[in-house]
Amino acid sequence: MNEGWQPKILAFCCNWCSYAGADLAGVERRQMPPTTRIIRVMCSGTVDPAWVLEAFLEGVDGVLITGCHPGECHYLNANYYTFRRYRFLDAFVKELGLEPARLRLEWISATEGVKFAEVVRDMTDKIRALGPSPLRPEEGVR
Amino acid sequence: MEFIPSICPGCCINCGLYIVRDEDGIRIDYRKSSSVNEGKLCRFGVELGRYYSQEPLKATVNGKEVDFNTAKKEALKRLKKTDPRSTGFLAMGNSTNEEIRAFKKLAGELGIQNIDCGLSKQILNVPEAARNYLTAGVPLREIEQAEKILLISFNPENYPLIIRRLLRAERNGTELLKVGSGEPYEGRGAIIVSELAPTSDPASIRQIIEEADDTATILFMKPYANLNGAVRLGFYGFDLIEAIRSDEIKSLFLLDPPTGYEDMFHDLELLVVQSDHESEVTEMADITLPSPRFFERRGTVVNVEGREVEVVPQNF
Amino acid sequence: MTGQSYLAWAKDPEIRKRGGSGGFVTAALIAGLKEGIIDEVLLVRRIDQFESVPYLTHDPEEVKSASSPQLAAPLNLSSYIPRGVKVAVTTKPCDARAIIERAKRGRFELEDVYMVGLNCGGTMPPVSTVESVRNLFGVDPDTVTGIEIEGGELIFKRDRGEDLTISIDEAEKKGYGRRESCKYCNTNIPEMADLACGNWGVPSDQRATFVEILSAKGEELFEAAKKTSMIEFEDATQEELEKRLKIDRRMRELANRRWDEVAGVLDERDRLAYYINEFSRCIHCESCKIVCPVCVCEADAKCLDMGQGNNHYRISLYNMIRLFHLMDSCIGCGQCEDVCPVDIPLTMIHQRFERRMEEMIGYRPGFDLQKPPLQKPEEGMK
Repeated sequence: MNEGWQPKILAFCCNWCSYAGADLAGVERRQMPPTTRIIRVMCSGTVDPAWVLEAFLEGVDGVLITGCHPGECHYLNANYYTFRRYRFLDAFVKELGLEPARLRLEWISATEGVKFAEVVRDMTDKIRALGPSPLRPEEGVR
Repeated sequence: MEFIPSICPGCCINCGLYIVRDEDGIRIDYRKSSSVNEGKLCRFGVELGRYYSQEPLKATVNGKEVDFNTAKKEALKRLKKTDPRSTGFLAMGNSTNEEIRAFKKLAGELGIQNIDCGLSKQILNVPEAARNYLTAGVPLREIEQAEKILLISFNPENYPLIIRRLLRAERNGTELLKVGSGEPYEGRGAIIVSELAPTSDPASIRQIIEEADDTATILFMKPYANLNGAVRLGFYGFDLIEAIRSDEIKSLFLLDPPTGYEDMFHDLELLVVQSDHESEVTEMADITLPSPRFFERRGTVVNVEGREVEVVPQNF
Repeated sequence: MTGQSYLAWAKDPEIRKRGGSGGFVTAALIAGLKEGIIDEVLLVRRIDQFESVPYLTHDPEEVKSASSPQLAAPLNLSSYIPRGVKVAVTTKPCDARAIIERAKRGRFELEDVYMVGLNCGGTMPPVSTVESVRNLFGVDPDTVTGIEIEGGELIFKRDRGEDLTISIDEAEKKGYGRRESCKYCNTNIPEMADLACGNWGVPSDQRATFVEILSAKGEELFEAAKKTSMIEFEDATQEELEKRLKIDRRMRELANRRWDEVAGVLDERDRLAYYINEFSRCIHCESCKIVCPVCVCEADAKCLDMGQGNNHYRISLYNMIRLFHLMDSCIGCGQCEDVCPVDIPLTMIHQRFERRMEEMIGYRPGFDLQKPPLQKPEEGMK
């Protein structure tokens, strides 16, 4: 294991709620380790599980999916699909033998900057304890 | 929906498969009762449906479409006019035993001695008494039961259906070793697996045969449908590939060309090609003679186990 | 009557003799054609005891001369169902589940397909079965005229010479017998078809088929067979019903025990290392996708599109996407494992993932037309 390794976490944040929440965390200068790269999507319901699989194969150490709280989705109920897919991804990751803590789903609203920072800190700590992802390609993450 | 049992022309394993024809076209299906491969296919076999669905070759003379008999007559006419010393017949193993036999006979009748299956260079470098080792067959079951297997300059990924036999051998306790070119090895009592292809180093091939003693078995894997048959029928004797490249050969009758040799034929004065599909080589030919697609031919090949196998079983 | 069970047999003594157990199935198919309920029948044409190929016919005479399904020809017929045609087909449970999943995905209308289900205890790989005749009995496989599995015994019938028998257990301990996926399949009665036929529950001295009518389409065929006077039948007795259930229960127990043996090993191991190792052999021939009945995506498939290149991945994205997508669709038919050129135990692996989903959501693919759970929202969550 290389020294100075930092977890790389990929976060999918929905435009209406969780991305705004992430943005708020930044504006309010909430402390967060710089481990998380954010991809803004219009809705957590557009997150294709194949992207999550691809992310792990590319070598990210964790994937965070964030969206609006149930009932608050900008597109009415698309986040109910997100949750269904997350359940499958969670079962998939467990069967595959990857540590389940590497995949996480959180509902974060536009005002929850504090929560966003907390989730990033918590997830970073947990993954740091786990080490680099065992699915990481041999030559490292590109 | 017509199911035609046939064999794959991709390599010497000649995996069994079905060709299925229906109103949507031609596709392959998996022939699980075939003993060499139990229905399994590599990428080449899987793609055969697409390959066989290609445009059939048309008979042409100087690029113009003609009827078959005209093309045939013209080909014979021009071949008779060439100087036999600078004319060659090249059949690189994509044809049946029967076709190669007829091809060899035709060359003989035209007085053309420059015949090759692409392996003359390697074969001529092996003493005549030892040439049978080049086409010896080994039952694939024997590979699974071997005590020791040596892969000499051999990458199983080029012949994917051998991989599962090697895996089973390992599970049965076989000692499996990979040997690179030039590396020393202990061959006693082993099955030696290597490759004999137009690009193989003749010296290495000879060395494998010379170093093997009575306790070793040698299996030379080969690309294309029937190089075993071509060699057993004696379709070799002149290194045509080199001769074409050095302009010694000016006229060529090419039977069922494989891909990858297109650059060789540009400078020929006469190129007659018999093939079952259009390709870069048929585009540059002076005369093209269409032959049936491989699964439509009635004939035999010699497979990796040394057995004569029908392209389509006669009793079907 | 839908829901009723009968013992039925063909009136025509020739059909009764030829048929697997009394010829009811043959009679019902012929009746279906004659009454115009169906236009075509999807049958198998026997090449020999170890090979058959599918074919479609509308000729009752061809149906009459067709032989009973073969144990040593492990086909899944769902891939050969034509579109827009009323067709009847004999289906093992895996064929029927595959047909339902394909209909669900728009390959054809389920109402056009009349599934005459057959009980199944497993089919066998042809090449190893041919070898077993040689190696276990020292006999020429060409002399075999029929293969049956009856009461735990594997029987090779011969016209000249004695029948050869060995217990299925013993044959399988020696590496022969049924396909791996059949050994742990716990769906032996085709309850998802239109009729369920077989000889479980039939008294040993009677040449008849146990027939359960499962749907309106099944009833249509049964009524047609009655109307054209092609069959005779009697109500199944309570005893016969129970005997059938008992056999089914026993087979399911054995199958589940086998699953625990084969797949339970993975509960203890480092599964990720195992999966990476198994899939490292994959040569990307895509045969598993081609033969998979529930894979109806063609060149537009995500697994193909996203799964090209990227040789540096620990497991290719092609395999990962298929593992994920099949979580709510894999019916355990075993076709993928049959055709994998590098012998990856694909069915067992896909079933590991699928059974997890089954436990989590309670949905089993291949039993009805409800949408697969991956395509639905999670209801009522907080």
